[in-house]
Amino acid sequence: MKYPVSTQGAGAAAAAVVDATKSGGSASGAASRTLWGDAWKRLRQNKLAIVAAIWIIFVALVAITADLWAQQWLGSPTAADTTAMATSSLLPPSLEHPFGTDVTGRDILVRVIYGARISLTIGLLATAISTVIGLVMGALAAYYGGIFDTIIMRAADIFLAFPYVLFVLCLIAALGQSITNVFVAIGILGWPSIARVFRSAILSVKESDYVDAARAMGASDARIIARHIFPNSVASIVVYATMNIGSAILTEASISFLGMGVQPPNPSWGIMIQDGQAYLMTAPWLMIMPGLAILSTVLAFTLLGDGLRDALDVKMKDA
Amino acid sequence: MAKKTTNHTDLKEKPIPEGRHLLEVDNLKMFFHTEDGIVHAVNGVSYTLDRGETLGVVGESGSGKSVTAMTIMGLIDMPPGKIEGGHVYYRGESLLDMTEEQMQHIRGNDIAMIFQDPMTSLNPVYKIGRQVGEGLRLHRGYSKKEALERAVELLHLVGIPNPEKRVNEYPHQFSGGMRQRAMIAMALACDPDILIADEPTTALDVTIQAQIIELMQEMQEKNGNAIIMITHDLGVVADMADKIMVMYAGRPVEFGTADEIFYDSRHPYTWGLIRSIPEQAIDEKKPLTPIHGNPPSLVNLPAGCPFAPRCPYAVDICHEKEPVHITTETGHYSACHFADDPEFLKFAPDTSRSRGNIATGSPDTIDTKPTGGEA
Amino acid sequence: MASNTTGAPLLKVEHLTKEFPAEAGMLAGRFSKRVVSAVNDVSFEIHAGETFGLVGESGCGKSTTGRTIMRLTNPTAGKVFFEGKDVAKMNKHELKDLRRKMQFIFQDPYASLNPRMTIGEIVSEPMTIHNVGTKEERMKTVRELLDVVGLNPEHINRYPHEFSGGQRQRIGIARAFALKPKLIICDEPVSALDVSIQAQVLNLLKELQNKYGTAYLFIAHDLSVVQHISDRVAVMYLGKMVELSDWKTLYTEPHHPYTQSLLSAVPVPDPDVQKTRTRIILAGDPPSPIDPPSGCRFHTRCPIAKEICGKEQPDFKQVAPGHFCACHFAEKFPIKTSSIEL
Repeated sequence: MKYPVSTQGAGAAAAAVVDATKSGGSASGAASRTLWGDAWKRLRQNKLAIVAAIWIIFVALVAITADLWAQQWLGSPTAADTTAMATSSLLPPSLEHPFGTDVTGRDILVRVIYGARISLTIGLLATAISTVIGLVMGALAAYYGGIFDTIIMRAADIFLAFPYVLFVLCLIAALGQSITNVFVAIGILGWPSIARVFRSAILSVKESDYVDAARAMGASDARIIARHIFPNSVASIVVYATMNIGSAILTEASISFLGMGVQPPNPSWGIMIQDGQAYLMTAPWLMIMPGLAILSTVLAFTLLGDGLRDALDVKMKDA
Repeated sequence: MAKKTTNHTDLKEKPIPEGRHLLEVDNLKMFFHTEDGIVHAVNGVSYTLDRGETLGVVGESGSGKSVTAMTIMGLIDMPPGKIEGGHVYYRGESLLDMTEEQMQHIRGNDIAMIFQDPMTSLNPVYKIGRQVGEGLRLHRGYSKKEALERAVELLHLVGIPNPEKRVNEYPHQFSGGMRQRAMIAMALACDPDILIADEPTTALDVTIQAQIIELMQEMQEKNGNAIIMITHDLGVVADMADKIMVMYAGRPVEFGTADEIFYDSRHPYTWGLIRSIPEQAIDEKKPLTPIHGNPPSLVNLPAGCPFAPRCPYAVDICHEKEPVHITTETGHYSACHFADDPEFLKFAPDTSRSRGNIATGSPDTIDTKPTGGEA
Repeated sequence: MASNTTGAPLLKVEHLTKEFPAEAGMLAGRFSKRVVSAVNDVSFEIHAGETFGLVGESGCGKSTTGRTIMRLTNPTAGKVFFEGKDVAKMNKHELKDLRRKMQFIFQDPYASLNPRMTIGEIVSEPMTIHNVGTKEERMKTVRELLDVVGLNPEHINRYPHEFSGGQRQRIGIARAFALKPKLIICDEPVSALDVSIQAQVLNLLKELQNKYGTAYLFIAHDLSVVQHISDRVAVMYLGKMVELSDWKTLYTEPHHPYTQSLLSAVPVPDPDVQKTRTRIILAGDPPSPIDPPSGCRFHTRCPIAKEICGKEQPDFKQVAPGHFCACHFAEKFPIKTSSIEL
């Protein structure tokens, strides 16, 4: 084939070249997506994580709106009505009482619903406290290193070396028994593991070239932490905090079960299990129903955390 | 893992059938089926290779040069990969039809591979001696002791000083160059027919690079094996390759002897690769002539010639019609619409031959006469 | 751009030495006396608008030199002067000013861009840090910069992972030029790229230099790349500078045997040339900088080493105007190493 030497202007060729340089950034040429957008896309593909998220949202909605409908339908969760005791004590699950009733004749479903309020509140607030303390401690240890690192991480080691539940019990005993003190105690004692996770995430980001690049530009420490280190290590914190909510709920249930947490007649899942243990053989639903509530909620938080871990991993892209 | 000596007859003992080559790759196509679409990773690759020959496979990253080698070795996960056509014959036997068990025997024994990064391709928890001898134990049924003895010999052969001591060291105690030497020793342990080297020198310093290339050539002279050398740098294959295949967007765009590629190139992409390399023997510095733009996505290939969007010579037909291979009688082919137009070939870059700087015995070897046979 | 080598230099490095503790870890450094001698007594100057190339194998201290000049690490000994001011003595305020005038381009186009920031945020960051202009003005500058480096300004809101290696390096270059610095330290800016893309980036760097008059300290392991872009080139081996001259002399009359071997090892895309030219292939690996060889540090691999080389350290002496070489036999050059009897 003959090359049409004269018909092809050099200008046209050059223009085509410039087009080629500037067009299409990505390999797929797809429209711009944000990293969080990508993460959401990947999370959506994880069916287990989505089921978990839906379950958590459902439980939360039920707990939040409980005052509007639950008591009218199922009665008071805290009533100590002696007449009801005689007529409706220890009824097995039925249409009227889907989860059955307890020894004082209270509906178990409504107690589980109100228990969800307490469990979720404690889980979220305790995790919030641990996360804030953990973030600050982890950031100080990792970014400044040296003596900060040594002191903070050895303190974390000491905290982690104590039996956790025992430690929480002691702290509640010292602070006094109240719902507030329960989550404060769980929160304060939960920081070491978050600090550890955050510290190692920061350390790996800190070594990266873009942090050096920012330093070379003259960025302040605060800016480097806020703009470079934090956004790149926050993924691991989101994952860890999500899972931590589950374990805080579990801790609350344990200490309430032991009688040091939420006090009767407030319906905590831990207390309900404790109440039910005497009737394990005769009325097993007393234990099974709150147990299932704990199991499903804690499992949901764990699965969601797992899904988030996969979805937020930037390294999974750009193989 | 540790199987008894297998009953496979060694394929490399088998004579090559009359009229066939050691390795024949014929119109090989392998696509990845991903959620973003079909990735045309290997799209119609053909070449032949004989013992003692070196084939250079050159192209930018993402041109499919490594994936082609991995496909031949059966190392591509299927799915997402899928063979869409073509054949690969090794000594007349079809590699694509072999079972995984048969391929395991081929890999390392008949066809061995070395990789770019010698750190990640050596296992950090095993001693060098054990890793070098592993193939011998696997394929040849050597005892532990025999394998270690042979490993010492091999390390000595690839120029590692104190091999008796160093077989007992771990990869992290080796420098980059030494690790690549150990990799070569490992690859050559079973005396393979074909050695596939995937950018073996890219991660190394220039002086070490020269050592490794020299070593590979020495070993080839000694063992007579064929080498497939994959690289993005034409300079690396200049004095080592007999044949060169230039790949672009999963396709071979030019194939010929080293002389044909360097002195009688017929594809603008090859020209671009040659022109991109900074020249050394120049009096005044002129700007380099890069290939503009970036390699295309292998999912949405441009219509017509895949190189057209970056080609400074592209005309209308290039954006419309996919070029076929235009082949000369020596087997030199080029996937350019104008590869047989002597006027067009005058755009080719100057070479030492066309400038007459080097006395080669044939001062003017630019072949401007039109060639026959359009493929 | 030819430099004027008269007048006060932009950057002056005097007897720069940098040592690291040989063992990593919290306690190791405190009890062990062993050090990695990364940079040893290195001196050079860079003038405004000039490109100064620094070549050597990995571990020769070229990157450490760049990082020390930028004060990303502090020198063990020696001084760095930028526009006559001692970098080591700068206070926080002066250091910030220094970092406005001196920028860095990194080797790895994947690791040097924050994956969670958009291209616009990345390129405008130096301006944000130094409070240059309003947000709108900064975004306008970013668009101009993207256009200058050959990227589509429309892609300002995209993320780094959507770009190829070569395009990312262009983003890094746009960022380095955002404040129109006087000196840019380019640490192996093209070695992670394909040859064809390398040429694009080298041309771009040259173009930008012509446009803005920026000086470069160009660090690389590839002599042909460095030669192409540099006005003067220095060769480092195991922490020491072994040769320094203008680029052409270094190519035509390399005095140091190490320079000669580096030159001869560069692959040439021409089989005829490759087959006929003499190649000096060095034996072995570079020795460890923890315990560098006595005398001339190169003598263990040098094809012409004599007894004196293992005993005495050669001076870095001037062999011709502007041409320095640290070899006991420097006077005997230009004799090709390959022709010297071994």
